[in-house]
Amino acid sequence: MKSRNFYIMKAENINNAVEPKDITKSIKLEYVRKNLIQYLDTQPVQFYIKEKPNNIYPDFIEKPIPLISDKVKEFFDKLGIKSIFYKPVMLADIKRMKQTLYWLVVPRKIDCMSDETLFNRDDSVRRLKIDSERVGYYKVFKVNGILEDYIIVDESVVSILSLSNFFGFKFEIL
Amino acid sequence: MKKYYTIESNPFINNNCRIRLGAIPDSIDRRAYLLDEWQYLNDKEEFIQFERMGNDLPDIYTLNIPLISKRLKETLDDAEVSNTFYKPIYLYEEQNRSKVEEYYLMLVEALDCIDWDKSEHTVNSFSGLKKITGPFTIKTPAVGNFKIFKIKSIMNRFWVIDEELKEKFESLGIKGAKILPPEKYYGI
Repeated sequence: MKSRNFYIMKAENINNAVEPKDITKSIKLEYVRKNLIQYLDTQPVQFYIKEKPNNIYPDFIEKPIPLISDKVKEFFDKLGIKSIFYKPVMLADIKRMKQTLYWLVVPRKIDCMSDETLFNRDDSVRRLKIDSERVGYYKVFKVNGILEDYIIVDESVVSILSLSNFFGFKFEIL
Repeated sequence: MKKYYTIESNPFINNNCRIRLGAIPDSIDRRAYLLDEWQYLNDKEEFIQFERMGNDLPDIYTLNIPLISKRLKETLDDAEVSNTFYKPIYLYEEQNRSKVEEYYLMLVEALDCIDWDKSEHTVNSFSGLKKITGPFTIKTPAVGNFKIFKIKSIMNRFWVIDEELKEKFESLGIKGAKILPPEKYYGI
């Protein structure tokens, strides 16, 4: 398999980006970060959002748990990406009587860290390197063996997400 | 307390649905199903030659590659099972290449959920992998909501299903399967 470039998928800082309230009370952060998907389910769940004068709905919300918009989910489905566990999450704006569908994303974790990866003294990653042969067919995944809960995407996903009308993403090359 | 059952090939239960598979194509990377490294498998269809040893066909085949029939996959879809990956596999016979039988190579999420102190097993001195050889105990809290799962790092080829799937499979009239509660399991 040819060598590919990989990127960490992060959320852009957007003023007035929508913020779900109390989401980690019902979806435990630990289950998402450690990929304990046996404790999650695929039933839709609704959360109210924090009141703001003008809520903006980006296509990616990174924290406290990673959520993608329905449009991005459709795009991932079209790309045939099957390495992700999804759970539908409705964000409800009571004031405006509006519901917006997002998807919790938990990509599979794989052993694909290159020997060239460098760590800090506290075991956090200083420089993450991916061994592209060990990624196989995956385009979206997480990495086993690091403390950070990064979502990694390959260059084909980045180029299409960047060229399309999606917003709220930024990509850090590895 | 939830009940679980092992499920694997047993062509001799319905002596009629034994098959023998031909060579597995190189495009099916064994690391995917032997080491649970799913990233090495894509979802493109693949063809494998097979030989009928009886009149009927099994719904499950776990001998050298994990396959399930189309109707078993539909049952899993109806049960909203989401911790699996499927690759379409068409089985064909040498003498009739135009007729294919629709199967799926199924990968199932693996869990570290066995109480090894209460389970009969051996450990391979070379690989360090365990093999369950008799009755065993599942730590049920570790299973969570999974209706079907594999046991992590063992050499056995069975999957574990919950009561709901067992009933669905049995009402379907599943063929070629050996379904056992863990306390009655016997390894081959």
